[in-house]
Amino acid sequence: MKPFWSDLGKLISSKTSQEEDFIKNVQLFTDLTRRERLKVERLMHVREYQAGEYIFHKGQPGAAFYVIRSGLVRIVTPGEPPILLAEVNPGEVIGELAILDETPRSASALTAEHATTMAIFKGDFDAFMLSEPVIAAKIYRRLAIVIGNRLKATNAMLQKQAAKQPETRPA
Amino acid sequence: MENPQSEQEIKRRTRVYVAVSSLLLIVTTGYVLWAIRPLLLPVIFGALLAYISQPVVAWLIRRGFPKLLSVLLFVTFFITLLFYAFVFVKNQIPDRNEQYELRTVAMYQLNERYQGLIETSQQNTTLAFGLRFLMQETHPLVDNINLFLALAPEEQMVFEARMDSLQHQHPRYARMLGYHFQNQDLLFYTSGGLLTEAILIGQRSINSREETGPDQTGGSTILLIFGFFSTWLIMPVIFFFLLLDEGKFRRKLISLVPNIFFETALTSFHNVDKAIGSYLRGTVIESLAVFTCFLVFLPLIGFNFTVSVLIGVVAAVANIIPFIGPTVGIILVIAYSLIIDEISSVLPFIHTGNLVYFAALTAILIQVADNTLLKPMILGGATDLHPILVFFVVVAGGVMFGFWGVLFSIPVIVIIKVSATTIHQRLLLYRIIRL
Repeated sequence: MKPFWSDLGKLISSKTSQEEDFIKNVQLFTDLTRRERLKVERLMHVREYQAGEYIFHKGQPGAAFYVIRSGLVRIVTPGEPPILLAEVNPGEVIGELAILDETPRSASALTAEHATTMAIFKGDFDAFMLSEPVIAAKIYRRLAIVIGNRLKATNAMLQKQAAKQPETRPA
Repeated sequence: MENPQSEQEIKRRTRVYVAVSSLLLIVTTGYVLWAIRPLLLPVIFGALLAYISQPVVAWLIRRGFPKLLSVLLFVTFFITLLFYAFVFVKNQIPDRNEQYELRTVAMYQLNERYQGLIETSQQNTTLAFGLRFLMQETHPLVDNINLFLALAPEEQMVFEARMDSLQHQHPRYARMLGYHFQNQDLLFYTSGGLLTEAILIGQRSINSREETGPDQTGGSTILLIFGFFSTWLIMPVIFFFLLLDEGKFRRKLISLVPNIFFETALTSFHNVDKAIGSYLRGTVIESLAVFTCFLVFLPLIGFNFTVSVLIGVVAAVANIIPFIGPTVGIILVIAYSLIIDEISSVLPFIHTGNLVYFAALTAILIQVADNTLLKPMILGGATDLHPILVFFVVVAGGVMFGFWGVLFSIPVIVIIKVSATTIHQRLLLYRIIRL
């Protein structure tokens, strides 16, 4: 009940978003002009999470991607205790594959502390792509770079692990 | 004594706070909605228009128009179009003299045909026996229609004076006067009394149920402020601002949803929005298509253009209600073809004697084309409702909210159906519930 009442305040208030400065530094939006960032900001849903709350679960359909505004978020796979895959800091993006397709989430996102996120819904982004193709193209380009970087990092990590265990390699 | 800062005390205070503020919110919202109830319909219409028109504005924006300009352009265009459509339809509505003529002809033709049926019923055949049985039920109905159509004494004076002055100009008016005098000799089918005498004493129904005047509900305080303006002025305002909204209202609503339901709410909202948007826009397009068909084909078989417009408008509006709506158009067309006494068809083989068959065929063909081609193409399966449910919902809507209840009951039930199905599917998919 409590979050409902605190959120009801937001419904009544006409206070504009203060996220603009922050968005400028988000990796996915660095190529955008101020005007373009404002347009993207209009798509965002600001969400607040308590420490230890799940943002999404592995296996659920991906309907949105999240920019971490504040707090630390852990990417985990389910288990007791959950297995930590990565830690995500403010300015970084999680669940970004949701804007490419609707395959289920490959891992869960769990907040390590009180966190705020800015979510963009896939349906809204698809419509945005039709009305603002130039901005969408810039975001997709950045997304490709982010995914490419992650792939490079994963390859490097695998190579490092393989180098550490040469004796386990098959002859 | 309890510690005022203890967890239990804070929880207790929170519960009291939530209960009191919820109650206040419900009471205030209820009161405001009740006070502004006459404004609700224009607000709903404005919101619906904005909702239906969103793709057009989005299209303008994609073509490079700024948002504000797109909305302004579209709203101006739409309101102008609505205004001219309203003026056009209003001009087609018969004036007082035309109404008198129409009532006189309708009454004459109805009784001519009904008396023909009575003669048939007096023969010694099985059909005649069935007819006699049926007429016990239709006599009161026809009497009531006669009382409704009959001209009041003062209307008769106006009508007679006008026909007198015009009868030398065109034989139609002399014929009309003849119909009028024959109508005055009509007897009640139920009691055998003279209809004219009943009209003289002001009887308008054979069930003699006192007619109630318009609902005199008390004036609300808020409405007094709007006293000088039409309540419908609010419609374009709502229309304009909702078109300009850019999903802010939806985002505010979503912000109230707890985190666990966030993505479920987003996708449900999106899917419901898509389904309802297609249904509402499809319904508007389909009704326009039905209106155009009536407007094109009825004058072809000999209907007056004015009447074709009016029947087209009523049929298009009634078309919103599946199963029941289409029959309204068919009944109207048949009824008018039965009372008309002269036609000007471009098809030489159609005359007043066989008009009713061609009229019925035309109206039925329009509805068949609508149901087999337009509906599946435009609406898909959105209106897949069981006929009994449709009937029940329409009747319930009528009982609860009158005319608007009848008109909006099906769109509302379709919205509820689509919303419930989508939300249910999403809750299962996100494993929030398990059945």
